[in-house]
Amino acid sequence: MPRNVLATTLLLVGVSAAQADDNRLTFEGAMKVTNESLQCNGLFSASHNERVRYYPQFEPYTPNSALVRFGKGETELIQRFGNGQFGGQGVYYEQFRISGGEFSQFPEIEGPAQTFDFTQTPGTVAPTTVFVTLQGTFMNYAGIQDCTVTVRGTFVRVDGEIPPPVY
Amino acid sequence: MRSILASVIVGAALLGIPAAVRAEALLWDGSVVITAATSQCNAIGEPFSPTKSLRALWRPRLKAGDPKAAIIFQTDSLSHIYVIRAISNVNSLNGTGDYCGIDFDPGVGESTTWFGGRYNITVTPAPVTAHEVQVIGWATKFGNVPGCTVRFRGAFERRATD
Repeated sequence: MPRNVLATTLLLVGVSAAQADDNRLTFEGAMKVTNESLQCNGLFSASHNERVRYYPQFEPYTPNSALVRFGKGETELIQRFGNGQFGGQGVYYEQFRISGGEFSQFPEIEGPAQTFDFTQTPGTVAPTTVFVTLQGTFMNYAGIQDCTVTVRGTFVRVDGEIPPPVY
Repeated sequence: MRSILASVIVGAALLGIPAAVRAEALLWDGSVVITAATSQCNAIGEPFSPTKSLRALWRPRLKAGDPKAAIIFQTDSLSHIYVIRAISNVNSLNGTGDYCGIDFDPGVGESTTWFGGRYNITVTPAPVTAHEVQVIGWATKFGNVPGCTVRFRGAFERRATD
């Protein structure tokens, strides 16, 4: 089996397992790109929203906060560097990307510093939070110098404690 | 993309409104999670049980000529597309009312339409022009199954309007 096919298969298995899902609370929704700088060279289609999952970190030193984009023809895992959620400012890196039948894995820090600046509502997401919105920018996206992507999205918690039925 | 396109095609075919008009209707993309379902919902044959999440579309009726307000549930495998559509020209499915249900089965290319179901949905914010819309609610006779009531919550992001 060609190495790239094997690698893609292994990664897809990993993604499937993550969706299956582990013990992390998942917030699922849609995100759109409202602007991208010329340096991004048209990375995104502005006409349709992307399905995105948000995995906020609730306690320090547990798995880092992450966003998973299910974009047009690609899936990407974006992870915050260090503790915290995606509200405020911080450093991120694109850990994995599957695109065009290939997958890419990126070192945590490579090339220009990848920073984000987001407004998150609520400011701190708790396990009891039902809805989350994010609005802000990714700087140096995809490791491209001065590629600034502005996004906004909204998410609903799709697992965890579900209230008892009332009809 | 295919699922969204399928929804638009299904909607256009089922509602008999010219595609040119439909293309102008503003849509919100998002997800819903089923938070409760009565046992009768097992007859649907789909896992409509708590923590089941689905892709969904939120469609208000913002102006004359727009199709009726609706919420559209898409199973991940596109085995079914369920539509809860307003019967009257309400601005959105906010509040309580009767709905027209549509179940499109892409596997056989057929749809089923039914009446007799009711919805109760709280929309935030109420005037549906915001970028982000959040809903919590329930619908009876879901999937055209008597006694099947599903409760759900969802979050939706408005598509770009250029």
